[in-house]
Amino acid sequence: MFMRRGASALGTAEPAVLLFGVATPRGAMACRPQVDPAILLHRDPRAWEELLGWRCIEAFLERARGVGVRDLQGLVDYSFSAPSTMWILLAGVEFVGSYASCWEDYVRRRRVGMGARTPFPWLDVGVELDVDIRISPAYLLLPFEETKRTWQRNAPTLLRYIPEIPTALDPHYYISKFFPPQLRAFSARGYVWVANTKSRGRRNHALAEWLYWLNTRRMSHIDIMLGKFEPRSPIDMVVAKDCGGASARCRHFKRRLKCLHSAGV
Amino acid sequence: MTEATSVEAVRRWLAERGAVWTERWGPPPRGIYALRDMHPPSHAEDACRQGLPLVYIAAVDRNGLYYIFGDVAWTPQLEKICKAVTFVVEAEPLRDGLNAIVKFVARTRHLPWVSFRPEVLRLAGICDEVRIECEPREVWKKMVEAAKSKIKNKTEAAGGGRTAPEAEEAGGVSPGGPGEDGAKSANRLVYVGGVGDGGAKSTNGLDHVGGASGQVLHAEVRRVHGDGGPGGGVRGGLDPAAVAAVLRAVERCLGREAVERLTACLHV
Repeated sequence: MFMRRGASALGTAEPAVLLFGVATPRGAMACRPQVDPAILLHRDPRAWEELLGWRCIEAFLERARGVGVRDLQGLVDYSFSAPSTMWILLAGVEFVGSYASCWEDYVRRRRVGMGARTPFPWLDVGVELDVDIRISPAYLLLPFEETKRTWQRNAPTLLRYIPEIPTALDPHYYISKFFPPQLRAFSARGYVWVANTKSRGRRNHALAEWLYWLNTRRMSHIDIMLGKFEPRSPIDMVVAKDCGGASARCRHFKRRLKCLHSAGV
Repeated sequence: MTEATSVEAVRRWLAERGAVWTERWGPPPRGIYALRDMHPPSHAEDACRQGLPLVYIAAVDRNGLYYIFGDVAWTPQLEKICKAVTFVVEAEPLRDGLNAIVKFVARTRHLPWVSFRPEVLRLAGICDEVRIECEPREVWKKMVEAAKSKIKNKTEAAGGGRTAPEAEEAGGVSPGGPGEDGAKSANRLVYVGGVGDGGAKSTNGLDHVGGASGQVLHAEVRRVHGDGGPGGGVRGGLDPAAVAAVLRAVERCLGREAVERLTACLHV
């Protein structure tokens, strides 16, 4: 029951201007992303333009203006430095298309696939590492406090060095600073090599994704989709050659991507 | 918020601020609770039995999302015994609106920033104002430890009192992991300051201490260098044990920010 109404001095919100796209029945602008929400951790505005499109970017900007974001670069920076706030900022955005369910899961239900997304080629390197990191950097999109148990169970190696992952405050900065240097050094051997080392019978795809993200500030599976994968050693060339243009799904890969098998090394 | 933040106090503050608000008796709408550790509903029962209302402030953004500020997360079990009053406040622009409410709640409830959800603090722009308060405590501790360790290592290296392996051993925890050719070069010093931040290397590991909150400090360090001070490294006369003790004392008495300022000032 309303009892009282206060004075107005803050001003009213300006109506959203639809520059691109069409209005949905609920009045919001439909966004048709061509990529999973991990792009929010991908610091490359061109990739945003290419895979999200301006329809999504405008919708995201519309919501992020309240926190001082003015343009695409600002949006990319904000998202990269505060990934776990994005589900709040993007609440209300309408998603359509094949990736809509990934985004709906993230924004409305706060769910993000934990596992690695990159289709690294299979290779028998015969190296076993004592590493337990099964979480992709994309999991930074969720608040650490709510997912602490998952981190403890699935990335204990990481948590040994960074007990509290600052998902809302420059995670890249802090993780870069405290990521075990021994593991960081493995990137010199190549991401494909790292991905194919084993820990307790599992391949270290997630570790390879972390190394790529820490080195480039970009998500490896998105770079692969765009054919921009940055090889770190000759062994990585096979990714650029055979997996270019592969699409990735937001969840753990149940259906193996074509390039996983086609890449003969 | 119960008796300590009375309904009248909230009303007065909103009026003074010239905010747009709606006041209604009833529980808060569904939304994001801004406080990190809320009291369990059982803590509110005594107050409710005395007839005191639970006070909630619900900041609503232009997209209709509610940020709820209150002491107790509302549950259906409270409906029978508690009455609640909710102030629905327009937070537009979001950062300014949230910022004011977060500060008001922190002041009136005597809450440290750490009581709020980091996401809300970030959206409210608090992290831009007092970044050090938003930095994870554990991470911050590690930075101080790393800084101390680096001072110790550098001083020992300058003094030549011990061999490198001994110094490394004395540095404490050697990060676990497999031995690998590339990994052998990674020692404590690399761990402290040289772990690449996208390739950006620092000539002075300590200017990173404190995270990006060290921006001002960073500039200060540069200025000192430009003034003809020593170009990095430990000042010869400083005893590492004394430095560590001073840092500990400063941290205990003056807080973490003071430690950060001091380490930057010593430009080690």
